[in-house]
Amino acid sequence: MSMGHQLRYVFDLIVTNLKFNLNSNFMKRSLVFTFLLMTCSLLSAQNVQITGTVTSFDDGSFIPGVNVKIKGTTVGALTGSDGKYTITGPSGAQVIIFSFIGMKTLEIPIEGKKVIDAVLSPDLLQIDEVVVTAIGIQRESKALGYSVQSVVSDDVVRSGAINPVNSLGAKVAGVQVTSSSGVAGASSFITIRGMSSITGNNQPLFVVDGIPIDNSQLRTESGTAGVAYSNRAIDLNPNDIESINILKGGAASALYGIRAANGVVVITTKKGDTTAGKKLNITINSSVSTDKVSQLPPMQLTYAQGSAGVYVNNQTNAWGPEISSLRHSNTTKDPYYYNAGLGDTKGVIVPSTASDAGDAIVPVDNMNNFFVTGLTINNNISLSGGNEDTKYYFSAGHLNAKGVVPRNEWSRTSFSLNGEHKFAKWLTTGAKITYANSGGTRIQQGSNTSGVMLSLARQAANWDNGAGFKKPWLEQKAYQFADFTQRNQHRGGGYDNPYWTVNNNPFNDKVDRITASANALVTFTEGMNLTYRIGTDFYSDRRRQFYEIGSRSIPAGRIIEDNYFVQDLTQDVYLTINREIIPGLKGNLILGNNIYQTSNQNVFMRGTTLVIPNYRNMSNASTKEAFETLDRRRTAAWYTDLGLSWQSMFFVNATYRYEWSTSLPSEYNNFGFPSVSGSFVFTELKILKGNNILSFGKVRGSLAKIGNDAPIYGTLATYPSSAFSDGWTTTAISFPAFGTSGFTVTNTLPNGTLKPERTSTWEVGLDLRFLNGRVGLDFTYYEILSEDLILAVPVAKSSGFYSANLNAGSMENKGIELVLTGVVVKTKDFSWDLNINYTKNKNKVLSLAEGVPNVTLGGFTSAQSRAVVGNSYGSIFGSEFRKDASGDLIIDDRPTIGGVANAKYGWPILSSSDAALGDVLPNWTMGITNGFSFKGVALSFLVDIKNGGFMWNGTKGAMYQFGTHKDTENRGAQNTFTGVGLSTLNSQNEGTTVSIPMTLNQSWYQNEGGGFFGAGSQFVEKTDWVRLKELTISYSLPKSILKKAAIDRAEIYFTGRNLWIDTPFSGVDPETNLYGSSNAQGLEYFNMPGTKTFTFGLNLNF
Amino acid sequence: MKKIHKIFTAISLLLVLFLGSCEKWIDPAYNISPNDPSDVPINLLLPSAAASLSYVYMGDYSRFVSIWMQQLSGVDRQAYGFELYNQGESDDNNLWNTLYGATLKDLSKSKEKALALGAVHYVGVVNIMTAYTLSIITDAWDDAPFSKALVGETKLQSAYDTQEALYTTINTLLDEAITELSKPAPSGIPAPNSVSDLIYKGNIPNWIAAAKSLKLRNALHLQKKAGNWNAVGTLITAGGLISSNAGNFKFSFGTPSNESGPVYNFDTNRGDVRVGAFIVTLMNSNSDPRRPLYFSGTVTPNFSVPSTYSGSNPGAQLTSANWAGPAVAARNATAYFMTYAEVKFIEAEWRFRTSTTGAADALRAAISASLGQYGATAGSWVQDNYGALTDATITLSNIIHAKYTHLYMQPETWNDWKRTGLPVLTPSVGNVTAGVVPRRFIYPQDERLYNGVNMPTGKIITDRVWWDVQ
Repeated sequence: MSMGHQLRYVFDLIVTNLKFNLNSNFMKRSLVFTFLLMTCSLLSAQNVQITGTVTSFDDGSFIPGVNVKIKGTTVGALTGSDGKYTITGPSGAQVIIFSFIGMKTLEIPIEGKKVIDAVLSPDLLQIDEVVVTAIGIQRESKALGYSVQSVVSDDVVRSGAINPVNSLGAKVAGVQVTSSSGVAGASSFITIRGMSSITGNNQPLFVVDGIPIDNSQLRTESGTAGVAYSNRAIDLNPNDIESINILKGGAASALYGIRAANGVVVITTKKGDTTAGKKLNITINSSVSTDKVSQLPPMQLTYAQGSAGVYVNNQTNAWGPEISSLRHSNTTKDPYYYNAGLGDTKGVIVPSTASDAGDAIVPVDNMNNFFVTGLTINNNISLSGGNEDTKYYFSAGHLNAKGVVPRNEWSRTSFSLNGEHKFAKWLTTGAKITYANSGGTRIQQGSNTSGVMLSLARQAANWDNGAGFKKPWLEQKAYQFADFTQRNQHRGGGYDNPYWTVNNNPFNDKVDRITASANALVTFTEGMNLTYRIGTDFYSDRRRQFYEIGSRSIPAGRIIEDNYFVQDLTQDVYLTINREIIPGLKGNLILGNNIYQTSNQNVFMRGTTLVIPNYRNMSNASTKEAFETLDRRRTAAWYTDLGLSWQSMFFVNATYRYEWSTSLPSEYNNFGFPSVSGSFVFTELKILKGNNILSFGKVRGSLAKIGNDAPIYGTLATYPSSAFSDGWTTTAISFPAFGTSGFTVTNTLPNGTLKPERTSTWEVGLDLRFLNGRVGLDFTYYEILSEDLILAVPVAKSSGFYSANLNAGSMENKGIELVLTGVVVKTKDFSWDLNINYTKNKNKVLSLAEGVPNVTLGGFTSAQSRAVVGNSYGSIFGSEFRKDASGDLIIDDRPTIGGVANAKYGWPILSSSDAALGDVLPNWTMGITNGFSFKGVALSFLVDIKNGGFMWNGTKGAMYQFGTHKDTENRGAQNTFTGVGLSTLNSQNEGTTVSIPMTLNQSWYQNEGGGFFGAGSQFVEKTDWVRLKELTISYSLPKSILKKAAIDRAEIYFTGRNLWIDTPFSGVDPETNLYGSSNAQGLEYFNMPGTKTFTFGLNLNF
Repeated sequence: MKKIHKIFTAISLLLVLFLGSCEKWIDPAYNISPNDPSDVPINLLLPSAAASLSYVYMGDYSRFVSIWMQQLSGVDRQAYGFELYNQGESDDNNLWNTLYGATLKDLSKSKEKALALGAVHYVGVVNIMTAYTLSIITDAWDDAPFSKALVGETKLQSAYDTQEALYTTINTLLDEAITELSKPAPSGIPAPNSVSDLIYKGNIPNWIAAAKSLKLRNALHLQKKAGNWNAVGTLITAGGLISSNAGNFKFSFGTPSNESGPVYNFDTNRGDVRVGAFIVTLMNSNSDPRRPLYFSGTVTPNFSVPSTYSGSNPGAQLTSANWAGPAVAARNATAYFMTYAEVKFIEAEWRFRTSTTGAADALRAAISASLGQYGATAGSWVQDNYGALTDATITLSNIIHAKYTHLYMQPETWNDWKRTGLPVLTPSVGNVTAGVVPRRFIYPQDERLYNGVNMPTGKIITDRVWWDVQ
């Protein structure tokens, strides 16, 4: 149970004891927690006994756990599992109040009756719902002057997403989730209301039960190669999550300070459940999922390995002759063409006209053959319960996911225990501990010659990576000869056989993580309490990357041992005072202190030049290098929050946080975060109150100034160990060398006068609910201006430095969020709910440093993701074709140059400078959820629509280069580019249209028309999509059956993820990113594909 | 009320407690990186400066100049572009950036430390390395930042010094160095030694000779501007110059992969360069015994001795030409900054120019020194080819061609060519400069972007540096 719950409880206790004259609104507001008030009943006189049964309007079933109270007293009771209650109250009791979460509170006059039955109907309006806000404080949603949106437990679990971040995709307005690929354990990137930092963190803070947790994605190798890593929120077991609240605006998160500059994901986990007075509740969730690759780049299966139409047996090109024109020799064997069926080798490849021409060559679809059906098994059990004073929750979960890439596997085992105990009226304490173990085996991807997609996409179809085996990844003969050399299409060179990679180049990781917290609530007097909370999030992440001797990327073999030790520590202490100042005017005040510390130690060892094949130990390395880094930071803060409300109609809230951070220079290390917000519930006006058309209406607005501190260690000079090269070589001098250590003055000029990054934000919103809540509309408009953004600005090297840490950049986000909810049909047996959320965020990089037009975030020489002044963050930057003044292509119209025939006659001409080719961020996104329920069957589906946004399809560009892409089957076709002639250009850069046919051939695709030397703009593709993101069908077994088996609830469900997608993007699922959870988005270069997932699950409650 | 009063007192105390501990918690020391030292002694700063200078001198700098001076030939990709004198402003970014952002920055910090310590020999060594670095900068880029540069802490955009001022600065630095190195090293104060001094292993007399020899080379350059040979003659007469190959001013790379030389790395990583036809033809003409050391077979990096030697003509893209040989392209090759042979070549030229006796002997001594330096098996080759030369028959062409052959992949060939027009080079086929061989580097892109207010504009690759008068 969180602090918020406890606060509320104490608040209620005080109010009740003082016998305040409560209005019914207040009662409703408290409905979630009022069952606690039963503790007070012991204090009261007893002389009237009433019994009855509470049933549901929907299906007539009994409702256990309903709070039953005699109005104006502290007397209360709960219904049992049979819906029955007994209450004994003072004589003269007038009215009984029945309240239950999600149901309309019902008041029934007693009028001398001894038996009172009640039928509760659902409360669609839910204007009194309570949400968790910053620092774990619970507030009525109607009091909030900013936008908050939540996702509840069932939506998280039933989404079938392994990574809890993925379960948020398309469900919350203003939130964008991008999963990096469909492989087991892959990370997801989440942003709220766009990007606000240039090179710093842009992801929100994750807070679990008041304790911030780490959501880093830590790397072992470069961003463009290596494996798909996890973001660490993946360690959370979705089954433990009760709800996820998204605090979007600055005013919502200002109380959290610097770490919340990008919003907050507030996760509340499940707590001890004493519903219906049961001492023990058991829930079981089991599911099994299968994954299939959703889409792959199309490959041509017509042409063989080779060049210029000639078969060459060791080339990476697929520019050879038609496969149908080749045969296996029936005399000369070729050990590379292993024949699994015969346990023998096939013949070398010869033309069909050769005298020894034998069997025809069957083209092989290596890419499609490679991927397998993934299988995920997920089992969870939880025990919870308790009594009035003590509550506990325990859960255990295990998930094992075998990915669509052979040998790719990821598991998560977690245990969680939390409890709370009320020692005395003035003291309640709680504690929580979660242990998670996660990790698995990851497979090389991206831009490296051991990456499986790179290898598969550059494979000509005359060759079978799997050598005819049904499960080649289990057959050593498919990828390795007896002498440990490699069987691949390039005869040992080129790229690794993907089956070699999955077996011989594994990346193994193992995370052991403990998140623990303890808290205490001290009640001094009425409406005044002190809360203390301390928590730690601690994990070790041990990784090993092995490259077998003979691997293409590291022929000498390599072993990397990479260990991270991460620890976060947080402590909060705060005083809360709640008062009704004068009748109708309520005030609350919070004064608090927070301290926080984070540290990340990385110990990296690299052994190179291995000696013994398949001996995977550091002792096998001839050269060993070791590196260590320790990154750490501390903050401390005071904060206050003052709220006033008048008659449930006007709400004003002001917060102020004053924070110190060690990453800033001491003179500038403290700064304040003010925010003010307010709301006006205009339907409380006499003229509107109680009308059924517009049942609830609220306008809200907020204003906040938030900020961010500096990157660590940016203020003081250091002397790194020296390493350098010239402009053309990667390997060069690195010290220690020549028998000595060598250090150099740091390249980045430290800055002892760095100021915090500042963000000013405001938002206005409108919350309207019509027809008693059947239709709801929530609209928000916001603007965010981020200034003094810190980045390492490139400088002239004659200053002695390469870059300087400066407060230089500024960026803005403006956006609209719209949430539409509707109960389209509601009858006793059938209902249809609709929920639409729409997000439009317009980001613009306003300035970087003086004279710095763009900053690279990541990428390749042919295409990068950059922040470009005047564009939205994350522009794809690369080469393009030259255009004339009116934007037409300029065509090389010179038939000869210097008397020699011009090979590029009729070709468009490349521009000499790179340009921004497209924005990565979408124009708008929309998630539409339709939910239907008929008796025990429920069907819901979530359609995810994304409009706008581009990605660099580098895979396609490379496949053009190598002639493996389906499009290159048009080799030899005539084509005419429309444009103006180069020789006709005048000084105004205008020219005359020419019409020159050219041939789409190997030369074209390996020069201007390909991805290596051609215009990158050809491979920048739209990533719009419409996808069926989630489809869930669930069936709850009738209670009548369950009762016999002593089961409270049983549900079976099917969930499909990404079952259907419509997109113009021509490669893998465009929801992907090479860099994973990183600012550099919009890059696809041999990324692993996305998946479709089919999950069958079972939920049982005892 | 008493109770409430007590509570507030307790809270106030608690707040004071937190406030007090807050300052300790936000300890500025927490932002001191434990990953890199905050300070290092001078003996760990100097090796890095020597290595960075040597790597780019023998790497980017040598490659540009050697291609233009036709000792190498760019046969593919960017190197072919350089062969056509198509040097873009981003092509020499790395060279400039390393010389300023690593070498001069580390030397500047070293000098600060040496002065603070009173480490006179370090001051001298740092001065000589700084002077040498500045001289290769100004000979390529003419005006360049120095007196107002390397002070990023206070100013990110540095004003430029004229080449005239830079030459004065260089000589001042060398004179100061000679003075400081001539002082006895104070005991208990660090001095360059066999570990920290990767160039002379702490041999101070060698450093002094190097300083004097560099002054001689600079005087030779300025002779073109001043028009008289007195300054050169004075330095030769004064003596104290590098007097044997053992005193050569040089840096040797190592065999491990993190110590390998730039030519080896370029040839194995990129390989777009072969040897130039001009030097091959020149050395074939008299069967120069240095050929197996200068040139290797057509497959690199096996350093097989080819049966015939062939180079690529400029612009011809002859990929079957020989690769550079082990003298420059071995993993552990040596970068020569200033050699005994070069001193003798300068002496020969001075004697020749001023009709002072001994020019022919000086030339023969220079060539013999060169053969000895590279370890060539010479036999009677020097006598056979140069024995007949006398002070009466010797020509400038004899001297400069022999010097050009000695300075294999050393950019000083470019200065000689700028001074004397020798050797006479035929510009590359397909060049983009209307047949003019480059006489300077263009300023790098980073200077234009980030120091545009100070950088001289409008400079093109065929412009002359200050001393290179028409």
